[in-house]
Amino acid sequence: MITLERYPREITLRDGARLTLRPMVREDADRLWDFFRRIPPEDTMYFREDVGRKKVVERWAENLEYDSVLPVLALEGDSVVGDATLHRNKSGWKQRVGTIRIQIAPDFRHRGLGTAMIREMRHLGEKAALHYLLAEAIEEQQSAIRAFEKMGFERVGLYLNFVNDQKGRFHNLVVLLYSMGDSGQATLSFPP
Amino acid sequence: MRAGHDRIYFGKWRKMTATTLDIRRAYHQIERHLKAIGEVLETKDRPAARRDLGKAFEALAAGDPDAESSDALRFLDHALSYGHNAIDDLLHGEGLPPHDPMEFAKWYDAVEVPFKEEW
Repeated sequence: MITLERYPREITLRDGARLTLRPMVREDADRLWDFFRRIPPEDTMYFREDVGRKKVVERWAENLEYDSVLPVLALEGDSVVGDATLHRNKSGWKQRVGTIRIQIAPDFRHRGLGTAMIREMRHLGEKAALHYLLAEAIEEQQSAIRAFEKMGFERVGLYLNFVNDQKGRFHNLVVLLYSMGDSGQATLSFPP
Repeated sequence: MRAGHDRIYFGKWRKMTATTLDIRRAYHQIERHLKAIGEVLETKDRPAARRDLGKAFEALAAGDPDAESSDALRFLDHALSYGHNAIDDLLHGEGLPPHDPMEFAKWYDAVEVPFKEEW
């Protein structure tokens, strides 16, 4: 079970920037919408929903249910600079599989925030007793893919011309998986 | 732990001129380094770091120079890398920035990496 008592918590990027991580709350709708408006169109083309419409973000804020979707925001002051979500199924055959999605503001890319957000999601996945974390990326998103691999995710699939952007062009989809073992509980195992 | 990592990271065993003795010494240094991380982890709630440390010990076992594996160096490198990841996870848990050995490269007379990408 994930306890959210650890939030809000501060993290420090390599360049010294200090950010606050905390779960999204209903009052964050405007902040999150501002954040998505700063994401360049070439990135929003890959989104599953049209975040250019404020109603979409407001709907997310109004229907928060952390057991299904836990959005963790990275804030600099009052401004959202990163958004990571852990998607879970409460029952069924994928209840031990979590899916993570991460977005980083353009001015915070290549500063280690993406890696820090993966690290945070990995921690939450372990605490939620999941067996796997799954991430998907368009093949062009090479730095994100490398960051996932550095954090222990393995490429388990490549679907050719599998997804289309909002202009209708097709792209290859890379599927990455982080295994947390059969029990879902990490153990400290090393020679005495 | 950070300093310990760097002493090994910039050690002679990773250079072209490394001898068998250098590699054997590195193996034992990495083993002690990982055990030191393990001692810290025992008091922390960082399950992902524990998993990384477990992988580090697996790689270390595969890199035992006595086993005369042709990939021993690569496995030792992996062991150190997983150990680094565990340290970074501990730092993240404390709200501190990740460790970058290249910030201390000048103390070890090491060559800067020409390109580094981070997400």
